[in-house]
Amino acid sequence: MMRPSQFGVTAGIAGGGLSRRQLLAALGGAGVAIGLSSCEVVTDPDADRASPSPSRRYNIPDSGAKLPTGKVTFRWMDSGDLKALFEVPLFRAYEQKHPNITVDYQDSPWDRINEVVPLGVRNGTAPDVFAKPNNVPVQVMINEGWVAPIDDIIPDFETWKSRFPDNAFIPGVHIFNDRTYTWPVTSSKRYAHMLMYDREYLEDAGYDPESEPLSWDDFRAAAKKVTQQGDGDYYGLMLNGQGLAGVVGALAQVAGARGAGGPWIDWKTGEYAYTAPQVKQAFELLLAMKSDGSIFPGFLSLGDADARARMPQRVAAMIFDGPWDIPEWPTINPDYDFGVAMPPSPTAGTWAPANYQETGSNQVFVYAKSKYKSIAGDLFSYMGSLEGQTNIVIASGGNLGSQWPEANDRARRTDVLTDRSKAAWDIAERLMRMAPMVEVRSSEVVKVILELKPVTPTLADIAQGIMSGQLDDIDRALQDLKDRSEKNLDDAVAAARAKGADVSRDLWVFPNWDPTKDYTPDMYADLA
Amino acid sequence: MAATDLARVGRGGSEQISGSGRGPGSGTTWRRIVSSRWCYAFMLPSLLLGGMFTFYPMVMSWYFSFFNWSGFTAEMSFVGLDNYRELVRDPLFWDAFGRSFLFVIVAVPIRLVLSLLVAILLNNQALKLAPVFRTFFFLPVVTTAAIVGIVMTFVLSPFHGPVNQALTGLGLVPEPVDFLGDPDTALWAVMGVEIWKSFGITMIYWLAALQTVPRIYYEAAKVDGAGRFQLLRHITIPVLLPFAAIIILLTANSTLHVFAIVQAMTRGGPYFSTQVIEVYIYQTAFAADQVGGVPRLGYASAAGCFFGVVVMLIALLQVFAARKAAQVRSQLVSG
Repeated sequence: MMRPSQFGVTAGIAGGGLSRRQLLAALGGAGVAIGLSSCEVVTDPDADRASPSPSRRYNIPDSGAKLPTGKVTFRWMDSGDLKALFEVPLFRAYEQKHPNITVDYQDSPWDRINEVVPLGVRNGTAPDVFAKPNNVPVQVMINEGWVAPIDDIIPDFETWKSRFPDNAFIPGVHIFNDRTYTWPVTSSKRYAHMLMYDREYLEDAGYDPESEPLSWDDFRAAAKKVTQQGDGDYYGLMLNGQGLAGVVGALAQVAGARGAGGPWIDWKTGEYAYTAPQVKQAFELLLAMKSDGSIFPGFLSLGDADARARMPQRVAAMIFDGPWDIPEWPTINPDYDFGVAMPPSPTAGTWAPANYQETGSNQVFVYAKSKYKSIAGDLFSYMGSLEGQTNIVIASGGNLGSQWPEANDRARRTDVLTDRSKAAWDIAERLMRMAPMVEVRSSEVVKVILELKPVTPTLADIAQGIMSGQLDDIDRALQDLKDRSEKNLDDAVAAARAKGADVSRDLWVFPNWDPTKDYTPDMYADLA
Repeated sequence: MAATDLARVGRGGSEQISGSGRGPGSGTTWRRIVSSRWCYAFMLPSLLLGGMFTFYPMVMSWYFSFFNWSGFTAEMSFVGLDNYRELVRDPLFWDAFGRSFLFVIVAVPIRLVLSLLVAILLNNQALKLAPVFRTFFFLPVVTTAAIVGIVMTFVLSPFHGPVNQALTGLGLVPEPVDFLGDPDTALWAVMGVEIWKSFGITMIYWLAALQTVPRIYYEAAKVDGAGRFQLLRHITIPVLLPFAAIIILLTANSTLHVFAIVQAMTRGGPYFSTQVIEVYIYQTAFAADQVGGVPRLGYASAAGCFFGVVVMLIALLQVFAARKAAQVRSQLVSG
């Protein structure tokens, strides 16, 4: 899962309790306990009734991989978070099944992954399986010989791969030069800007967003009223300086801005979407709320983890955030009663779709010089099975989804998923539609990505400037960002072409894209 | 720099005078090396470590600055001076550059004057609790900058932060001040925290310097009827001058390296208002994933080298000033 960086220490200080990482360690520990107790209290996803029943949770079959017979330590590094809840018990169960194998699981913050993996590759000590460092394109890892294809590693690869939905494996994302290097461990279909709110504060103010979705006007009025109720002890809306652009994108998207959020490209025209009128309207809404005094003071200097950790301390009534808060907040404050609702839209009860790209998430790669690739293949084989995928969803409390509809259905039939997790799932289903991916259209696009220079100031910077009052001409700032972004992409395309890539800006245009529908393989075929 | 180093600087003038003769190891260079072999042997670990972790990275930064390179590919394209050309046209670089020097221009004099005053007070042997106060002032220096930064975000917070509670409680401000979220106050707030955090090390430098002032000067001046201010004006300050030059250099240097505290408190925001040069370099070299695109280690190296040259020029000016001050001191000592 690609998540903004976490600072457990700040969460700990803010909450005066567990940090996010401590929480996950604790939950992971609980997962280990459950995993090790094996045949005890677990859920049978096949049961029709929603109740726990005895079943082996991590029933790892023999995949046929030729595993080492001597004592070995297999190293796995990723960002932990929700997937650790699945991986930790899986690895302990795997060690039980193969006593000669120790899995050294390094659940690490992204900063550490970004440093350790490139250094490890250079000196030959990289973990056997690792998450991609954020700032290294996959193509670079492949060109530089960092990672090995998984086609030869996972036993009976073609059968294994065929069980995934169509288009789950994407050229330019998972497949390079006809070899598969990674796979979608979980789905990227998770809505990251749900309205999560303090039930008591909103009820006191006369609002119930779960049953009566808020319009933008309601949202502003609710925040103002809650702030008045709070009288300096709590506020209407929690924002943070790092996440402003995401909130603006989400608000603009549900208001109908095509392509807002994500890569910020309107796939209909292939141009950047920063100047869509809804983007400015979203900024104006937030500025109005700021002038009302409804936003948590000091939000511009807050990080996303700080902002998130303060919600269970009940210092603000509403925040836009994703399902990862659902298991975390009750551990910070068990009495915290929060709701999970659709984001506010200009007209209550109607939302334009939010588009996402189904690249999968939580991908990991196998180190090219690993001596124990067969262990990676064995583990991947299980993780990419129906049981493995179902268990990922169950272990995360439904806060991670699978690309396999059947795995999601099986998990949903259990009573492990909370109402909030189910609500988050429903919101994602209701709002999110798959957008086209230029990488699917042409794997040559990767060469353009390698030529892209960072565009600064970014939308995140500009959002800070607008909210802090440093930028007062929103139209001009957004137009400037669009112009710079267009030129940057044009330059990257030109540079890639100069190096022989068969690319043009036309690849970014999908005339048959309908934002209200999933973009299907047939639609790619129609373009040809 | 240790107190002994400072003392050496202070003695610079007299060493130049007495060191004109040739020592016992005179002769060929080789004979001198052989006769001083143990000195070189003891220097070797330091030379090796310095070479590996200071000089090699420095040289490689210059090398990388001539390439378009992301930092993780084998392929590097030579671009000559293109990175430097782009840099001098980058307004964000110059803004960050300006902020770093504003930091120095404001924070260094405040640190120097405050720490000198405290050092003079604590140098008074009649003050029984001097070691306690010295420790008290030095504690922030040894506290991790990132921790100080995070704690200070809570201290300065407009939501129930103690500073704002004090200000509003005393009626000094009508409503809490968003020190770190307001672009007009953010840089000053970070500066204040940096001055507080690093104040102790400058104080220690001054204390070391003060302890080199021969007591007989004070005693003789007192016999001649000099008061406290005259002692300060005619003895302490002239004797401290050569130290002052080097302390200014060290303080300015440390004030240019405030990455950790800025990153922990504001990450350069809001909207670049606290983006000093080190944060700019970091964000260009390593945080490109957060702004889209591929990291630009070559370009960031160019920014680092350019900045390094400017700092070096300032340092050279200060070394020149230190020598001049040392000459003044030696004249004072011999006079």
